[in-house]
Amino acid sequence: MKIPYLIFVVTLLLFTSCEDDFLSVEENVNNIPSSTAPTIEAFICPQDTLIKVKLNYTRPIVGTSIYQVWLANVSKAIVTITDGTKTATFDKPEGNVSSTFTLNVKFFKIEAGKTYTLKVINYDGQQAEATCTIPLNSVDLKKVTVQEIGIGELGGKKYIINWDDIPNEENYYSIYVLDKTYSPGVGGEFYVYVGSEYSEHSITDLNNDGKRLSSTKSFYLQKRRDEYYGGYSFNEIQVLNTDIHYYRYHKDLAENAFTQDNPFAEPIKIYSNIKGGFGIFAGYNRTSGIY
Amino acid sequence: MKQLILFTYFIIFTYTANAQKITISGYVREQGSKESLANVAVAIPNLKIGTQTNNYGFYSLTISNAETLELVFSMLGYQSEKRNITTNASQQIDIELKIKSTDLKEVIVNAERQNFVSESEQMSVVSVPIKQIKDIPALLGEKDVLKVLQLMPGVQKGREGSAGLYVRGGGPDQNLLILDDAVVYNANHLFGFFSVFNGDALKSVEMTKGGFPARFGGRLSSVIEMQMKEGNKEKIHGEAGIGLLSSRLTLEGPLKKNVSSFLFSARRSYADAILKPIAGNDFPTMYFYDLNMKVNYDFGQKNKLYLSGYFGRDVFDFQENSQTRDSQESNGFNWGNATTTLRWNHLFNQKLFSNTSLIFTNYNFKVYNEETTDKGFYSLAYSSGIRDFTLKSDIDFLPSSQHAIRTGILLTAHRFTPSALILVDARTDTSGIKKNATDAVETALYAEDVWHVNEKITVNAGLRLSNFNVNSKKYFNFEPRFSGAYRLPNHLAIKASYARMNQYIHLLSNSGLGLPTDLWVSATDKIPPQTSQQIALGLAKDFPDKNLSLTVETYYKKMDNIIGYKEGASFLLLEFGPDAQKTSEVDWQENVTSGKGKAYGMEILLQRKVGRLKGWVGYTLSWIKHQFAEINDGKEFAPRYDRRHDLSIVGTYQLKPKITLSATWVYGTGNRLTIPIASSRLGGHTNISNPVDTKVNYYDERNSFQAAAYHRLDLGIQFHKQKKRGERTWEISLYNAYNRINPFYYESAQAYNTTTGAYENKLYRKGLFPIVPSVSYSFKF
Repeated sequence: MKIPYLIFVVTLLLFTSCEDDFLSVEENVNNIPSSTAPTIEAFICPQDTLIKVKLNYTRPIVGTSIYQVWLANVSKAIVTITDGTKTATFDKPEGNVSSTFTLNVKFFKIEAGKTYTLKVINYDGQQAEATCTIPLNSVDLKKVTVQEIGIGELGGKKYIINWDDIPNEENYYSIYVLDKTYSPGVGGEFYVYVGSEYSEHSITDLNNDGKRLSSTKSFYLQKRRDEYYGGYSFNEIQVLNTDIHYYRYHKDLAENAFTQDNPFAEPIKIYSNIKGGFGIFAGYNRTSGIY
Repeated sequence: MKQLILFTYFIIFTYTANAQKITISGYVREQGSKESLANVAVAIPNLKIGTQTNNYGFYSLTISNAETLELVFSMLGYQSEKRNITTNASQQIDIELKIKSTDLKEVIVNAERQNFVSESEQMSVVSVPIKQIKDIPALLGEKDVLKVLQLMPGVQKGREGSAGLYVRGGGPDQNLLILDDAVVYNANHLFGFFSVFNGDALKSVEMTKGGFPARFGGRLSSVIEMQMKEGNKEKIHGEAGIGLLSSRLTLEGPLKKNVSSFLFSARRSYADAILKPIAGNDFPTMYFYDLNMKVNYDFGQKNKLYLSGYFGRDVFDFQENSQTRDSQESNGFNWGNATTTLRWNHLFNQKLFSNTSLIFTNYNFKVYNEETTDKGFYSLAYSSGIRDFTLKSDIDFLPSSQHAIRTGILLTAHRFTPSALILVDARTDTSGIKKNATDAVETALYAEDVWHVNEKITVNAGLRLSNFNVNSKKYFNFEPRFSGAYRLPNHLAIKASYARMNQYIHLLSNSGLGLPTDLWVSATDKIPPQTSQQIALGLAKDFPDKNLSLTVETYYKKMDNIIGYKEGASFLLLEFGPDAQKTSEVDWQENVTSGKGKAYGMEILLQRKVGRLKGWVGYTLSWIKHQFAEINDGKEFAPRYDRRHDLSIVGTYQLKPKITLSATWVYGTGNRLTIPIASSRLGGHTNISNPVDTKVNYYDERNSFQAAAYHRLDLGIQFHKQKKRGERTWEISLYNAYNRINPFYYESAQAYNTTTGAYENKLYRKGLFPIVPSVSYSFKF
């Protein structure tokens, strides 16, 4: 009886001491590509005053981390945009803290219905390229309404957003509700900044062409609130008529967020239209109004 | 349909009435327990003819009138019986076979033994004696029928520790698991680490991987038929065991001596019962149990009645009490199967035997959240399940020694409930049930004939007609079946088979783990039934002087309309809206994509079922390919369980009368996995200046990575001792004896390299079970 008893105790101890390291071993792999490629996120629309392109890099699953080298050199990249006739080069990010390249629309106009090509030449010579077309039409602002559905968990009123689908074409929509603050500065200038945003992506008009559409999510909305310093806060509602790249990318990102940290879930291939890299270059046509 | 049945009966009775020969028939049972014995070879050696007993121990041989005959009854593990009969009239001969005692002498070669693999027309069938299953070492000492079948060629295991079976390239949903005629839908305890079948209650297990006889249908890849013991008809017997994970108790005995008997077998895990008092009430309640019950009544030669049932459940419940909020919260999930089978054997005459079964089977899974506060009670439960009622009738007609005809009908009413949402909210006085149930009716009609064409050729030709009605859609399919053997001298046979199968139900699974969250759903007008065609060619050779049998088989299987989850799809068929009212069901049909598959390969099995050294060596060389329109960009890919090489060596050795040694070694090429080749951080479109980016992985083609090879050695030793009241057995075993870290999943992480001073990305193989010693005690009386 003694020996089995002893084994029983040892088994219990083994199970309680199964730390990760005990059941983990570094795999010696040689069949995984370990190179890096540029990652791009860029969303353009005719209503923006500044076009932004955010660069990132891919971390290989096996190999030495290149983060420090990348951070030191990311601003050396050359980012250009062309509509086929005119080409503009983006301004480089300042310092070593950002990887967002910018271009003022004074120098390059984004127009509905036009097709644009974005090119990136990385500091290490790697090149990536993508094309998108801005949707020709935008949602009629007069038909964008809100509908109260009750009190939310935080105590405020919640609303869903309704709008009329643009008829006779395939549409993909995104909805944004922004908390914006207007701050007057000294000498007449003013600042508007976005405090927080709430969004719903990847809404299609499939089987609902030309009909009235609604957001599935609901949003907290408040009328203009005056601040003590002379500024005020308000909610801005945006309805984005997006291209299919925008739609597919955000759909995959949402699914990725849902299945993250589950090692048994089937992997999701995030949609990308970047040739020579990863990420997205997408266009949309925005309708916005203040609540 | 009715006319067809009447016509079949008419033909059978006409044939019977016109017979001019004598018929010898009867039942074969085990001496002592009176348990009926299936697959006993019944032969008349001087006439070179023979047959086998059916599942209920019945046999029938119709021969030309003869004055003297010698009948030989033989079966592996039993002493053969001979009967010399002097007669010129039909008669009934019931036989009892005695179990061969375990001694150290090698088994005497039995030249008349007819259940050689080279004698059967059937191919692609594997069976392991229950006694041997109990001798093979197992994880935590929990003997498991399905895990032993995983050691057979052509059968792949899923993830480490899982009891799931992948047969000849088919998924775990393509196996028909039948316990006393009842389908068991989810055969898993403890998230698939153990199967629900308790070996103590089982009499036989047989797996068919191809060349399916027409009597089997409804799944593409395998049929695993399990018969529960009937219960000892002479005296009370019992068996009890205590292991590290669970304890079990089996009782069997006569209700009325030699007429009626019962069997009761129960098993329960008790980790929670031990740990809860130590860890306190916060420790979750988690356990599984199962019960097997059977009673039977023998009304004489003509009629027998059997009632059997299985009931098992897994429970996980997490309680949380908050004194400050004055609330009690309970979260958890549970799942389980219940089956009941009522069977009636009727012997019309010496050549005509029938069995009619009424079967109920139910599987359900439930996840819930309940909260009781001073404001009231709130409960949200999500459940899914499948429930069947089946009526099945099979007829064995044995008109002559050359033909064994089987025919039958099956009628099943399915109710699929992929999702049901039940809300009770006393706080807001709302409640509701959102149930999504589908009713379907499956019917089948079959006939098959085992035809001994001559001394060398035996064939089993059959046809199954299957029909499935769901909503307004009707599916109707012909399923031709054929298997045949050509016998050569020296116990050698060449075999071939063809089978077309249809499967009207699908399993939605995105884990491959056999989790209870896998959902059974019906074929619909949008999602057609799965179909397959399989051809197999093989050799079977017996070495009677060494008690060895060798089979070599090659196969090619083509599967259509198999389904898979679209990338990223979830099992939870709910789409959460802004509030409870807008929570809506997602149509599962939108979550899946249909595809096709093919599998081909070769299997070698060298098996020894009797002797001091028993066991087998099994080797599989195989390829599997899948193609789905919406997975992997429509390109063909190898599924996770595509293993090129798979080897199992299983042996038990009777060292001394009181000591049994056992060992298992398995080797398999690594599974195919999809692991990221790189990652980055992405945020999507945003208007704020400091958005939170999330990690995104990039993948190459689906399952392009091959995991490290799987290999493992298990060792066991049993000490038997005859006590005054019975036999006790201590068993000590080692699972994964050389502590191999077999891949369960892969994870990438950064590590600091002290030599280079740089951070490096590394891929880590994560294992599940290290070396696991265990001990168990059992007592048999």
